Amino acid sequence: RIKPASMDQCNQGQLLPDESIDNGNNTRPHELIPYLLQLENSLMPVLPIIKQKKKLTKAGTVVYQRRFQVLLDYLYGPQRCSQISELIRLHLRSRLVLNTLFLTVNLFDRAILTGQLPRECYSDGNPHLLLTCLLIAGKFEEVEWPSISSLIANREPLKASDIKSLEIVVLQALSFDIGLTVLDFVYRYCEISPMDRSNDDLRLLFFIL
Amino acid sequence: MAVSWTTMLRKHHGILINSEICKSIFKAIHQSSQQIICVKSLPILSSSSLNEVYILRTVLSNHNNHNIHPNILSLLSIKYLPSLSIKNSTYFIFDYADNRDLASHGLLYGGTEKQLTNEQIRTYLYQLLSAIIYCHDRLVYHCALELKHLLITRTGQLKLSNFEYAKHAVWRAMTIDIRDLSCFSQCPPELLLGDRTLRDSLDMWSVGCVFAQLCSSTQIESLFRGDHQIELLFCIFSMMGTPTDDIWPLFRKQPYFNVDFPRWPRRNDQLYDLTKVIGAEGLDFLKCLLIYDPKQRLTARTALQHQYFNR
Repeated sequence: RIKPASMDQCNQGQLLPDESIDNGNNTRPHELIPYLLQLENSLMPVLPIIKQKKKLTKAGTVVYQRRFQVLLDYLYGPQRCSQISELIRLHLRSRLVLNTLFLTVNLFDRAILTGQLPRECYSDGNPHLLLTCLLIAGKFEEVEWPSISSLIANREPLKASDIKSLEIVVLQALSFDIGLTVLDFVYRYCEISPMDRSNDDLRLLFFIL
Repeated sequence: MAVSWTTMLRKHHGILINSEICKSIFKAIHQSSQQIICVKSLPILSSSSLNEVYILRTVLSNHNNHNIHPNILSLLSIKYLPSLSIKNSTYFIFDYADNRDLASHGLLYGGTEKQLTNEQIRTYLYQLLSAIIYCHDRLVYHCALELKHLLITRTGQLKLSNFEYAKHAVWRAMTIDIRDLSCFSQCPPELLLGDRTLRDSLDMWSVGCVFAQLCSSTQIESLFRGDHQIELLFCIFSMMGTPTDDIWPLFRKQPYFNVDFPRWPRRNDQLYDLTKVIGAEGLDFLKCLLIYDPKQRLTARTALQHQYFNR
């Protein structure tokens, strides 16, 4: 599974929202990032192996490898960065649960990696796929999920039926595995590790969450 | 509208709608395999149905085999029509269980056979518990154990259905709300008293309520009744007795505990009526399921080792 945005991307693409938007009611995402960076570093040796395995097992042909590389390039490119930063602003404005954000990015990345989605729905700054993922994540995490009409407000070319039809395509592509996010593992880690003076960072994180 | 999507279902997936079971659920025949199936049509993929698919497909699944457990209603496939029409719905295809659940079981037979026998109750309960063990081993809590969600096939096999309310306990400190339970009258006392931890004893209290409902002659009325939390709590206390420190050591530390709670003695007459059907061992088993202290209440695994099943 792909993790949410990495530290470099955050620094490059102004992923962090303005301080003025955050009025104190929401958790500030940038306090999470040092921890996530640590987590990523610890996972780094594992990741290339997984990628290689994916290529070796699934790709019998060169064409597939090329397509996979294109998708990976997209994921580490600037377009995704700007889309995600827009998502974070939207998320803060609409006051959703923190885990919804994580799950949205998780679904977004994994949906692209499956390669079964039409390229138009996420390239060139088209928010179609991102909003669909937000809808699915909202349904899964929130008590009152964001309505389709509120999601497509001020986005002229999108229609409600488009989102509905893409929603089922995304879910089929992921074979309904909505799954856990990094945040779930952080919670779990906080739960099982002892809360003493030796891990102050962890205690701070736990209080923030 | 009904004509348009049924013809399309036949055209695309070879499914022939046979009859309507209830609103938006249909009995159907899969033409190529001649299998009788149950189709549930959803105009909008709601939050609860998404949860159901996630639990059944991801958490409880065992690698490409849709038949998860003999006592859990299997979700065969998920179909959707390509976007030909405006009203494109999603269809969940379930195994068909002869259109009978335990809630209407007694009513269907009518007359003298209305009451289930002890043997029937025991086999149903055994199957229910083995399905629950499977769920609890995978940290899934059903939270909607009711008679109408327990389907009976023609051969007497019990199928646990409706995972819309099910919770996947990802981390241990997950909480649950009273609204998350489907049936208010099966709310356990610790949840009524404000202890919102999600644990397996919650389902076991529901099993106790289902057991008592199966034994009673009317079957429709649940064991405890109440419209509000305090009414239901007093109904439980008046029947089972107000808990003391010996029975439930943490009773006084519950968030909504009040010293002014009336002190009812334990009444055995209402439960004793049930012994005519299930015998003394059954009554003992029921009492073990309805223990106040959630830590002492039987788990699904220990419940199967009770001597009620060993005869």
